[in-house]
Amino acid sequence: MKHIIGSAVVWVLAGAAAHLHGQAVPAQAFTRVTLHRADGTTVPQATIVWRNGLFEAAGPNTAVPFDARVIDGGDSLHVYPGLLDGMAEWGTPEPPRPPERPERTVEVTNERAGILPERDVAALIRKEAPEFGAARSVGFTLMAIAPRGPLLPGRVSVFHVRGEMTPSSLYRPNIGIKATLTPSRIVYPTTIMGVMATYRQLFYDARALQAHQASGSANAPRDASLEALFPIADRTSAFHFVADDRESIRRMFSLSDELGFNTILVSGKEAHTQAAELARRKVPVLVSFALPAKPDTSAGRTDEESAWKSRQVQAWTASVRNIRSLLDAGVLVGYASNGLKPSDLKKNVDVLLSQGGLTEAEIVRIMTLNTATILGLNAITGDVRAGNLADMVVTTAPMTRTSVRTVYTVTAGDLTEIKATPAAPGGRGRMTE
Amino acid sequence: MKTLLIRIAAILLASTVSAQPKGSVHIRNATVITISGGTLENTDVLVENGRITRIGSNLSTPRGADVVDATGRYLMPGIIDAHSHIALSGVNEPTHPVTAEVRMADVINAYDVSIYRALGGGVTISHAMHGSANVIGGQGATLKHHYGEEAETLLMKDAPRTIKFALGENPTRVHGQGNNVQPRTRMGVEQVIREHFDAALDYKRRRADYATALQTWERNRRRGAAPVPVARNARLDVLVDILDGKILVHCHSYRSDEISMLMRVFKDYGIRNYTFQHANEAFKVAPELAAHGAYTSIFSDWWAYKFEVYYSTSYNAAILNHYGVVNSINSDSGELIRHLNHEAAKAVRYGGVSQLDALKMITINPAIQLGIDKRVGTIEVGKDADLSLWSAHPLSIYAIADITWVDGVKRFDRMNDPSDMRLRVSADGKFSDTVASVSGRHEDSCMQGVLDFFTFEQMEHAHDH
Amino acid sequence: MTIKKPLLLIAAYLLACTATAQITERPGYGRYALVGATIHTVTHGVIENGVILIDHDRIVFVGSNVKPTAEYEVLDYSGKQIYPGLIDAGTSLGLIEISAVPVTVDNAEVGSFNPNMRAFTAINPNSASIPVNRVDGVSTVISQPASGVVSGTATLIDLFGYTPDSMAVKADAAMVLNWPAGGRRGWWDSRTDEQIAEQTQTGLKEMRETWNKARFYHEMMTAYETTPTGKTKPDRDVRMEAMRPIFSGALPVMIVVNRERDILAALDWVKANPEVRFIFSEVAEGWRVAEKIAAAKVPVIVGPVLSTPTRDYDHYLRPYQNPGVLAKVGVRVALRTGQSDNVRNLPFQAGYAATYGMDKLEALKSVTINPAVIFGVEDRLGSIEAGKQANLVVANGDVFETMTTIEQMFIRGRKIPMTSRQEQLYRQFIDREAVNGRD
Repeated sequence: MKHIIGSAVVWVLAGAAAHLHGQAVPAQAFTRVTLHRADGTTVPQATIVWRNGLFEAAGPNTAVPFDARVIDGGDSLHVYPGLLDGMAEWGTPEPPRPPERPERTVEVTNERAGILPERDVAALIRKEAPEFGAARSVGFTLMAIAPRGPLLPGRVSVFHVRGEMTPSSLYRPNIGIKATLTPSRIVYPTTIMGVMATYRQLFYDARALQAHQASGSANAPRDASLEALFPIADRTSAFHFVADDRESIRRMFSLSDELGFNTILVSGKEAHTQAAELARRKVPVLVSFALPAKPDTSAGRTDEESAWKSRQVQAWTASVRNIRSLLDAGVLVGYASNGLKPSDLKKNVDVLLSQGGLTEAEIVRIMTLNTATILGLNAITGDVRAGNLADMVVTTAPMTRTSVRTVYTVTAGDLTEIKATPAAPGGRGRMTE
Repeated sequence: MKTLLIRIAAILLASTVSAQPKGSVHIRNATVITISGGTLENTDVLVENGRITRIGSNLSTPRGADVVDATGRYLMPGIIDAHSHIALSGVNEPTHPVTAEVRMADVINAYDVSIYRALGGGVTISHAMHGSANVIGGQGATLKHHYGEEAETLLMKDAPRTIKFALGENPTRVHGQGNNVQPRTRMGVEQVIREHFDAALDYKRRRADYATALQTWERNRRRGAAPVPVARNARLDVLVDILDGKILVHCHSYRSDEISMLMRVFKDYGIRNYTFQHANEAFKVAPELAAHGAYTSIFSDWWAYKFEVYYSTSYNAAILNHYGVVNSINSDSGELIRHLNHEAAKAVRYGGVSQLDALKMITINPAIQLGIDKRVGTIEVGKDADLSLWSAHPLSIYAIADITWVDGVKRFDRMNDPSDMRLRVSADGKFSDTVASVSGRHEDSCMQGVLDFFTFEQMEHAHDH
Repeated sequence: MTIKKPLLLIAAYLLACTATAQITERPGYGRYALVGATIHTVTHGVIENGVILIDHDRIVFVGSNVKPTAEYEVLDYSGKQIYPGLIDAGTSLGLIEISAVPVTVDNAEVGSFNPNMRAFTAINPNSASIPVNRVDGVSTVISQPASGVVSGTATLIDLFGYTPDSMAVKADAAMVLNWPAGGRRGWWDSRTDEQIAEQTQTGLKEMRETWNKARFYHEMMTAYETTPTGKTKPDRDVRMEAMRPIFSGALPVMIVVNRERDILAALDWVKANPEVRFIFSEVAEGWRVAEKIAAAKVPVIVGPVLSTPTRDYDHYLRPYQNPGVLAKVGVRVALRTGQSDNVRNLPFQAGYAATYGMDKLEALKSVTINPAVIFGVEDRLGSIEAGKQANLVVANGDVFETMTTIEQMFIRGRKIPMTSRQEQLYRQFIDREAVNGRD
């Protein structure tokens, strides 16, 4: 404790000095913590050092630098890599609501149709959305966010998770384009078949424009929406394709074959039905953890009802084992909240552990390194490793225990102490804000 | 070039991954209604690998084939429904009078239990179409009822492309009355078609010109300015294909004058092999239809649900048949599709159509209209083994469909039916959830997706219950 | 024999007149002897080579081995089958001309409580649908209002007459009560589960309150009418007045109900109101609770039989089996098409019921004597017996069979002209040049 105060003074001065004189910013460190790596290995009594927003060292015998502000874990704290959310919608504006009855002669605009692949999300985010703080309390340090809306609502950008988002929260802009099969209910296309036809036409137009511009012609027009699709058409970037049911995933396959684009499947609640195909095509899945409620398993009043219930339970079991099936088939699985509130995460994780056939290590890896890999960020995040972004979550116990509490979340080196919530009835702390 | 190679690879891979199911069976001692070659008593039919290989008496069973003793029962070709909206996630894209670019093949729902229930009525093929909200709607999909397989397997890959047109009250109500967009009248319907056909011909010419100009520019080592591209347009591409005779038109129509109009327009643009769907007043221009070689696909007896069908008659089939028009009887309903054998029998009742001609209206005639008559529609050696076995003559009200085969695979067997035939089961829902029964009204199917034009109350009470 | 050209033209002209104008052929009416046919009496078995004597609107004799006296015009129906005129116990025939044209739709009044509305009033005796349907076997229908919770009274009409008054067998045959349904009503019903549950509860509550108010009104008015002295006359309430015959047992209540849960709730309602006569109509899930319906002795009007199952996991034949399952446990079953324009498909509904488990005679009863009994007119209709009204169907085969032709209808003894707009259109266009000349 003594040297915390002492070095805090040094730290502040040094920090101020660093800005004026360009000296190194002092480090921070955790000592005597149990480090959980993304590969599932556990390092007891570890020391973790970070500086300038990056990990400097992490391991059992790591030395603590002289200028590091230390927090002693007392052998009771657990450190995990910061969690990544592969597709969040926090802070994004509500999509325009369709009128009760379609209006007469509404002009067809790209906005109304949902054709907005060029739209940046950073300017749209409501900075004080409460879910950011809630997500950070759970342990999320990095999230990919895209606008909400039908068809092609906009681009995916990666943000540091802070309590309140500022312009410096933007980490990587425009890593991909969010795609859906959801039709606008305002103007054409208002059906899935219309949406599929729209994708076709957009790709014809994008490739034609690309060729026209490339030919050096003086009068080649500009079109922001089509130009946003160039990297998708070239396969240098991918659609982050939100789809849940079997048919939608198959339609995504069929469009990607026909039009030639790469996909990352987002949400994928029925992805297990296509596990082999996903593995064969090497399509990664940023899976949703939102599980259906467990059906009532009491005996039916008749044989017919019992048979019906048994099928329902089978369906529920398949949903709960969705992720297990994907892992078994060799699919790369990451995590996307896609609307699942941080406060609802724990109860679903509990079911995944008890009935879904997953271990804590698998869940941790899904929510960290795998998501980073899928988003193309595994070189700099997803694990506690020297050189990576200093993103961590520190808990009082292994993350998936019932009575665990988040103590700190570290986002790109910035440490936040998470205030404890009053214990819920029964004395169980919650991994929430 | 690279994309083309990728596409070919994808097609090859797809065809090996989802191989078409084919079965073998020896159906023994049935009364075989061949349609094309008379009705044969005490006859066996052999099916091997999805094809009918022999028809005769006392045949021996090929290796690996099941045997079905059909003594006392009637075997007929699987029934074909030329107008259906089952197995679809969406029917109408009603936001523009012409939406030729949308495809029903994109939105097949292979898990629809209606497919199974149709099999329970001996129906092996349904023509899944766009609805009738638009003058030119989307492209249809001819589906084999391989219930239990994925959508790619249901789609009849070699079946000709089809497309839906619609005339009369539906498009004029949806676009004209609903959106103040042409067409509002039957005059407008004709002009929308002509305008779009003319635009398609211009597009075709300009695309060809561009292709030539591009080739020339390439050959001249790209000297000078590149030719201004003519963008590829999905909608116009389809209209060009219609004009080039690559797509069979199925046109929802009722009044005799609009039927005459389409024949006139199609003659001007050189379009042939088209079918008028519903065509309640077709009987008033039966000689003209015969002369133009146009086909009709009608209800057995629906009328009076709209003004344009007020002056129609259940004798429609008899009159069309009398003039030699290739006519079929369809359902346009997930309920009616289950008893098309009964609907066909009404052609005998109303106007004395022969039993054979009545059966043609649900077998070979719809096959002709869908361009698949080389493969299905009759029981002949070499054809696909799409068959249905009945407990009595299929035109009798007492006939029960016992077994239905698609490509020789038994897809329905009354004696081995486990009741709950759902392919997709949700983890949510309650045992007592009812789905309102489909009473089989026309409005149930053809205008799906056009909710804004029917208030909740109108829909309720217009249905008489 | 060659027909002279002027005669041909006259014939063509006359044919053209009948083809385009209203039916002008006059129905025969008098004394007829229908001889040689197989008579399906329904209540007294089948008579081969029988004789039916009709004297104006009455059947005066049914039997065989009788030679009719001279005043009877003999109609030779050798080889034919004769049935009682079929009765459809649930239609909107005459109330809806064209369902897509709102001004021709008169079965659904605004408002949720309309016991005073009478379908009888709005029957269009000249509806194009009436001749179309009566030439195909149906002689009598219930035509009923829809909409709201209490829609009004259904009417029982013979399909012959110039005014509803003359057509009516019973002007007010039953009060229609639509049980507030819990389920989704169709593909167009986009309400959420919560909305449906809430609206159902509200509907049930309103129904109970209104019913209790009506019962109270009846008791109050009865008390006044019995001994008016010393009492102030209560204000008359048109709607409440219309409900009174229910509580005196004079008018049955026809509850339109389908779902299992709703049928059970309706059965509780029946039990709680023992002085009221009840009938259930539609009853798609009746087979699930058949024994309970039988125990409650509630007669049931089932249909349309040709429907899809109510639940996605139901066996595919449930709707066809429904009437048979109910009949087997002793429920009195009548059938309904629910149609306004294709009531003629009623015999096929019965045919399907007979194919899938209903005894054939029971199936015939469900479209003849059972609806007659349910509506209290079995003294006049529903079977071929001396003394009953002469409603008869002469067919060239089994009336359930699709390929059978109906050759002659008798309604109230009138020998009905076997023509309708549809049949006229056939004659006009089967050879249009012969009728209208070249164009």
